[in-house]
Amino acid sequence: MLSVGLNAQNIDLSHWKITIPKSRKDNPNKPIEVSPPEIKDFAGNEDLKPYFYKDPEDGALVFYAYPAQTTRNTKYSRSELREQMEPGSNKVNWTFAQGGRMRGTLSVPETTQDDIGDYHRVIIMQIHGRLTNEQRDLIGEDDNNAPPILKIYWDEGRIRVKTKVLKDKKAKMPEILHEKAWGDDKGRNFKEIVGTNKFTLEVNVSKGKMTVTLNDDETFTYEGVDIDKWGVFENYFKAGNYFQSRDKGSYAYVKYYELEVSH
Amino acid sequence: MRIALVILFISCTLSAHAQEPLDFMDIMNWRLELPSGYKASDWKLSNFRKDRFAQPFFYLDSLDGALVMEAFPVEGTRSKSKYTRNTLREQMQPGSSDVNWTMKEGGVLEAELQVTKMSQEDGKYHKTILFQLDGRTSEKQTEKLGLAKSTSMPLLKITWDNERVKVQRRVLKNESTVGDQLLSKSAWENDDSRFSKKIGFKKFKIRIAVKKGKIEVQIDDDTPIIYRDTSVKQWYFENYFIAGNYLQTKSPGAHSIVKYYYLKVNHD
Repeated sequence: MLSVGLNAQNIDLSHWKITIPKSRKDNPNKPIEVSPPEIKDFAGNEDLKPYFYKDPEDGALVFYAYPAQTTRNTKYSRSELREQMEPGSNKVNWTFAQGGRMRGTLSVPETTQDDIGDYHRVIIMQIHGRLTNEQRDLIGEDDNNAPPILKIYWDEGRIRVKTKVLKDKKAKMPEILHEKAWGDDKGRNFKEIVGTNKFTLEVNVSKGKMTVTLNDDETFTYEGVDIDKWGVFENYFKAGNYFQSRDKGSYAYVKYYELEVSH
Repeated sequence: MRIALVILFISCTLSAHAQEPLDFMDIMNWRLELPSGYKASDWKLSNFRKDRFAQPFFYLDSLDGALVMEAFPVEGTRSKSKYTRNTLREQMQPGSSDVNWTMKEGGVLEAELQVTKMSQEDGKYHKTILFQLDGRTSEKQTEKLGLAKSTSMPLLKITWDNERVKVQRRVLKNESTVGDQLLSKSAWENDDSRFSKKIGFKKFKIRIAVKKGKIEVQIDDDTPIIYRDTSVKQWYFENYFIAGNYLQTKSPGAHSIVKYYYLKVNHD
């Protein structure tokens, strides 16, 4: 069992890569990313400082994002961690059969509003799919991108969970490897209203099953044909601030007090 | 310009602390809709004191602590409303409009309020709807009628009308109507009553009690208006209350202000 912890006292970033909404100097079309082992010295990295830093008051890890440089395949920008089972590499990931657990304590203390007052949304946790090189070649894609099976949002003070479902439940290999084979479910909100307060989210994945629990109280369970067929993909966890706005002047802060992943 | 933008957005960000609840209303059980098209319920509504988008219309009076609801037409908004809407819609389950109550379950709304400003046009005051009791088809009824989504119809409208309180309700055109026909808008027509008391711009209390085929509307300690007939008994919709200041005009310069000193709903 591999366990990777992150908290105010003992920040262990040895299995996480950070992406920030700032362009690289050598390639202005890509955002800056810092992997292990360099990420361990995040406090000494001038590029990271505004976007990824330790709050001097409560020791939380702060993720700040506003609309700027995005990654490939995306329109929103982010200050977000990407799990790396093998430090410094995106190549080693996990399947649902191998399983995984992510638990975090976090808050969304600040986010801006749009022109009529709707608060901008933030994705605070994800499980992202990834094509293996063989799968990529099989369907003739030019990168390893696959959809996220799980997106957890902070949405106007509530926690909203969205998953992917097959548009055609009978779809088989290799159709199910295509991004367009998957659609969004309608989403579910937890009953508890978190507002700007601290809360705990736990995601558990095993063969054919995914659960999401808020504050060790209410749990959403996902299983059935969609999750079964998702078993074909490799996955990785993401945590932080994937900011869902392109409005000028908008921004959000997300704070992580604890973050732990195990397999 | 950049600095101005930054300041603008700092002023509308969130507080790190939870809002104190109001003692004169359960704010989590309402959904607000403003003339600008702004909508808010549960946490977002509870944060209204820090929300500059709510403030021009919905705020606490700094002197007496009352909730002030202002209505005036706003240009270029996303509001689809025919008139100038500043309303609170009851939500038994915070954040959801899908849980409502039947006539059998009943509900009582009690409030103390005051219309403190009403604009005029051609020497006549504009009107505002202070309360509504709306019926809405349940999930089952919606499905049975073959509708894509639920449809709603007010059973009761309570309007500030020329300094008096007018009560309008729906009655069956034909009392022998039965079944799904009762859910059709065309089966119903309006029936108007009016309290004789001149309320004007004074503070007053109102009580709207709905239970098992009976509706009672009372102002202060005056004689109530009571409805207890086939039309009430045959009301099969699920219901919710609306309270606020729903100004019945979009005329430029129109402006009304209603202050709520308390607003309570119970379903005991």
